[in-house]
Amino acid sequence: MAAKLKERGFQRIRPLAGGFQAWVSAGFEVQDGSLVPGRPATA
Amino acid sequence: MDQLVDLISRYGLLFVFVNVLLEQAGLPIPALPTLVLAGALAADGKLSAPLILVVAVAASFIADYPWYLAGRRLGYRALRTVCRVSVSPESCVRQTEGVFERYGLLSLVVAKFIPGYSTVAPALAGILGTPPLSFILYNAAGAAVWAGSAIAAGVIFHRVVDRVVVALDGLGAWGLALLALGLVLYLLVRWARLVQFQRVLRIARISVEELRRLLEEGHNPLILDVRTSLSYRYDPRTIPGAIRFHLDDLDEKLAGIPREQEIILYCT
Repeated sequence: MAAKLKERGFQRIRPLAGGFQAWVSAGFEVQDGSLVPGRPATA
Repeated sequence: MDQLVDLISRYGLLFVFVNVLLEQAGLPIPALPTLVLAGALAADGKLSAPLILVVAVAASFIADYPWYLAGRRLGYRALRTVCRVSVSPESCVRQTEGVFERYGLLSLVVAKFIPGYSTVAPALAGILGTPPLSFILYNAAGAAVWAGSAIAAGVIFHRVVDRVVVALDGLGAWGLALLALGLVLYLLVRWARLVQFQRVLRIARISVEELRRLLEEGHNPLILDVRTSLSYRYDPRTIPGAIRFHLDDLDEKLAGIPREQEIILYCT
């Protein structure tokens, strides 16, 4: 995904080390997915 | 070389068992040549083809089932552990999920033929709550198709295999050296692919602490949740402010966003 974004001219791209699991494991705040804009979960 | 064939004839089933077990556990020791050779020996009456198949399926199951159980108990942490020993964890998880998402349990049947997927598929099946009996059936079917096709190739082409063995035998010590060279070349190709893949993926990452600090300080990075639908269903929560994002939406979602915008991607 990062490579695709770079191909489109975006240069300031950083993947989150450890992904979502690392965020959750650190105990940081999360939000209800139903509030998130974007494709529905089943898409 | 005759000694090697004698060794495989005598301890063939044990040899097949250990080789399949090690390969399925993730070590880069190809089991297909052994299965083909064992199939050829079966055609020559030196081994039993059905027994080879049973042993290969059993070894495969013994290697896979612990990962399935780990997936059920540890969730995505199990998959990350498997992927950590292969390539970039995020990439590995995404690719695995993509295959499972597309083919479901049937992917277990063809998993053995897909490099890399074979080791991670059992963990993913566990994470997604596949019932044990379904896992055992589909996994066994996959192992049987995979090992069966190699054994069948050995049986069908046993004369060719015999000629290769005789030719290698004629070379004496050079024959063994040729085999060793083949194995080394195989390992080198795998290593080169891994290095190339990691180079493509090598990119500066942001830690969770740094991202949190950015958010607290009022910076406004664009956070894209690029998890697959499978992992999103598994845990539908997101990082605050994140936008669900799919590769198909790339151009639509990024229209109008300045190219200097900082973007944070996160996967499972």
